[in-house]
Order: sequence, then structure tokens, then C-alpha cells
Amino acid sequence: MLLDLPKPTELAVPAFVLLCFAEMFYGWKSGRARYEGKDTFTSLVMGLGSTISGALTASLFLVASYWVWDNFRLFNLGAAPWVFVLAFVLDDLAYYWIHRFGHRMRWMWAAHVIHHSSQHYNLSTALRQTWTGQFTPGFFFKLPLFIMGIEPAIVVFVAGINLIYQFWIHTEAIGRMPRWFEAVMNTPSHHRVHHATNPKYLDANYAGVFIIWDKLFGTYVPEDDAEPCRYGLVRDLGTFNPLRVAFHEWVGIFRDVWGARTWRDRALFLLAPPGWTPDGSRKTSDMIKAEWRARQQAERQAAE
Amino acid sequence: MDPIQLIGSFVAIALLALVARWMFPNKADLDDARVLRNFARHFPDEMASGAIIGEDGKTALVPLVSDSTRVGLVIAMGDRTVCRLVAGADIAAVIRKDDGLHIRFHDFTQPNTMLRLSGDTLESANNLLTSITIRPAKDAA
Ligand SMILES: [Zn+2]
Ligand SMILES: [Zn+2]
Repeated sequence: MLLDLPKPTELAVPAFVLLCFAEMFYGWKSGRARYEGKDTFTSLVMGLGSTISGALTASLFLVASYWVWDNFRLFNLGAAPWVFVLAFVLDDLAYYWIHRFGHRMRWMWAAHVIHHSSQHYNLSTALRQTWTGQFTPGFFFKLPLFIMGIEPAIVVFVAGINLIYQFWIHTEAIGRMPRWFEAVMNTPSHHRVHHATNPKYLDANYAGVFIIWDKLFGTYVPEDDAEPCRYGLVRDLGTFNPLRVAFHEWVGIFRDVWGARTWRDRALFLLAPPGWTPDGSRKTSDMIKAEWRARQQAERQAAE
Repeated sequence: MDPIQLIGSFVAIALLALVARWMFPNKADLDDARVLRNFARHFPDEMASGAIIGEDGKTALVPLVSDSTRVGLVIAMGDRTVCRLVAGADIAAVIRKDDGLHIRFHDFTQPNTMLRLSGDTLESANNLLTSITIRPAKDAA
């Protein structure tokens, strides 16, 4: 029997729109938030497209999930409130790893890059979502939840709440939350770092709801007031066209795989971090960070 | 998604984008300081020797001090900029017209740009790009 739960993200859309207006108005008055017309348009079209693309493939995802649940689950944990809490925490852990691989494996980055493609950081950026997440191995990270006995409908439901939580952290209007909150939860400050292209901030703060995963797995970087965040991609997009935004990295992968000489290179164009090339002609985030560290050291030595 | 929801979504998107455009108009064009600052932020190891900025303030070329095989490119995107370091192989075509240089790239995320120039500046920008492209511009066009 399929558990029938409401779709939290769809219910939240009117609130998202109103909060965008509110942030815009606040930014207009105070200068503490910034929007740009075309950028906003693209972000919102990406959000709408993501909803449509998700709806088109939702049944496929559910069929696959229930097949795993029916055939491979070890327990049936039922649908008591504590199961929802457990599902929420474990789904957030799964999200952390999906998100981390989303930055470190080019196949998954091809889908996730969309969310980082704006040079702005405001509530509309939260809605700039992928259209192609279904075509990555992300699904496999959720399988342990089904196998341990959490019904897929519950996972879908808590994942929706997770996504809603992440909406409000996409803002520059909030500086820091109370200390205890910053210590445990993902916040605007932590997530600004995640969206920043400053070398110091690359590949940090993959958390969805709980920042503790980053602290646990060594990817936590606090926001440094001396290093203001610059948002976007290390190689920004020169287009607002939603279709180009949606598919650019897939096109890039296709071109690279097509032109590759060996099967090893073909595999690595898909599985290695974004920016990897056989001849090192492009830069990965690790290379950018290493160059930055070398510059820092040279500056320190020059100062001594 | 039913049609009413879809239409409602498009109305909301248009409204938000229009209000954003009205509340946060883009005023600043590119100038020397902005071009060089953004270029240096993206390519801290490259030394710019100046900037050739289009007359509309939308696109700029950044010649490099000790590298004649590549050139910097800074393009205004909304209220932000996009910075590139391009070599000859990145350029599909440079077409010189009366209003300036129309450049096409082998880049899905930045297919083309236009450098609005005239007179001597057009001449030197054209020479700069011709010198870094492997094939002569007319072949690629
Ligand atoms: Zn991310
Ligand atoms: Zn985000």
C-alpha cells in the first residue's frame, strides 16, 4: 500500500514567491539584498522547469524505489512519527553525500551546476534548480534508507521538507543566526560560503539542513568577514538562456567524451571532478585552491 | 501540472523579474578599473597590459603583458561580469564589420560577443585577435 502524503514543495510555492518579493523590497530599501531582472527571470524559469521535469519522472522514481523497498528491505519501520524524524535525519545525511558528489563528480555536477550558475545570491537563487538530476547516480545514495525499512513515500516527503528548509538560507539579508543555531544548523552564512567562488571557500559546506555533517566529514569552512563571498562559478556562464543554462555541462561532457582518445579518459571525463582533463589544460577546484595557497605563501614570505 | 498552474507560474515569474528590473536597474558600464579588477580576480596569475573597452561599455579585451597567444575578455552580464582567457583555439570566428568586431566562440555558455569599436581602436583590437587565432579569421567565418 502506497502511503499518500502531501507534496510540501508544491504547497510552499506561493510563500516562496511572496518571500522573494519581500526580500526584493527589503534590498531596495536597505541595500542589503540585490536582484537583477534577467538573472531573476532565469532562476525562476529554472525552478519551474525543475518542477515540471521532476513531475514527469516522479512515477519512475517511485516505481524504482518501491521495487527496492519491496525486495530488499531488512525491516519495515512503519510510519510512526519517530520514523519521520529518523528519515529526515538520514535523508539529510544522504543529501550531504549526493551534494558532495554533485561537486566532485562531473556527471553529477552536470545536473547540480545549474544551482550555482547565478552570480547573485538571493531567494530566487534557491529556486534555480536542475532539470536533469534524475539522470545522475544520485538515486543510489537513497537506497540504504529503503533497505533499512523506511518507506519511499516517507523519504520523498522529508526530502521535500529538506528542500523547503534550504530556501530561506539563500539570502545576504541575514548575517549570522544565534551561536547555537549556527553550530548545528545550515544557515545563510554557511551556505553563502558554499555558493562562493573564492578559492578559500571552494568545495565547502555541502550540508542541506544540519551543518554537523560538514564538521563530521571535514568539509566545514566558516564565513570569514575579511573575505566577502563572490558568487557563481569559477568559469561563469555568459548566457541567461535557460536552455543553455540547463544543458551546458552535459554538452561539455558529450564533447569531451566524443573527443577522448582512450576509454580511461572517457570514464574520467564523467567520473573525475569538474575541470579534469588528461593534459591538465583546465583547472579543477583542487588546482585552484593549490594555486591560491601558493600565492598566499609567496605573499607571506614577501612580507617577512 | 495543470494549465492554470502553469500560467500562474509564468505570471509570477514575469512579475518578479520586472519588479527586480525596476528596483535594481543596471547602470554601470565597463570602465578600465572595473575590467582590470574583475580580470585580476579571475586570473590572478596573469598580468594585464591594459583594456580595450567597446564603445557601448559591454565588452572589453584585455591584452596580456607576456603572453601573445591568449587574450583576456571581460563581458558585462546584467550587473555582473563574465571573464575569460581565450586562446586561438577557443575562437570560431572574428568578423570585422563597420560597427566593430563580432566574435564567435567554441563555447556553449558564451557563443558570441560583439566589441563595438571604430577607427584605430578597431584596428588594433582586430590585429590583437588575428595574432592569437591559429587560423585566419576569414577561413573560420
Ligand atoms: Zn552545491
Ligand atoms: Zn544553494
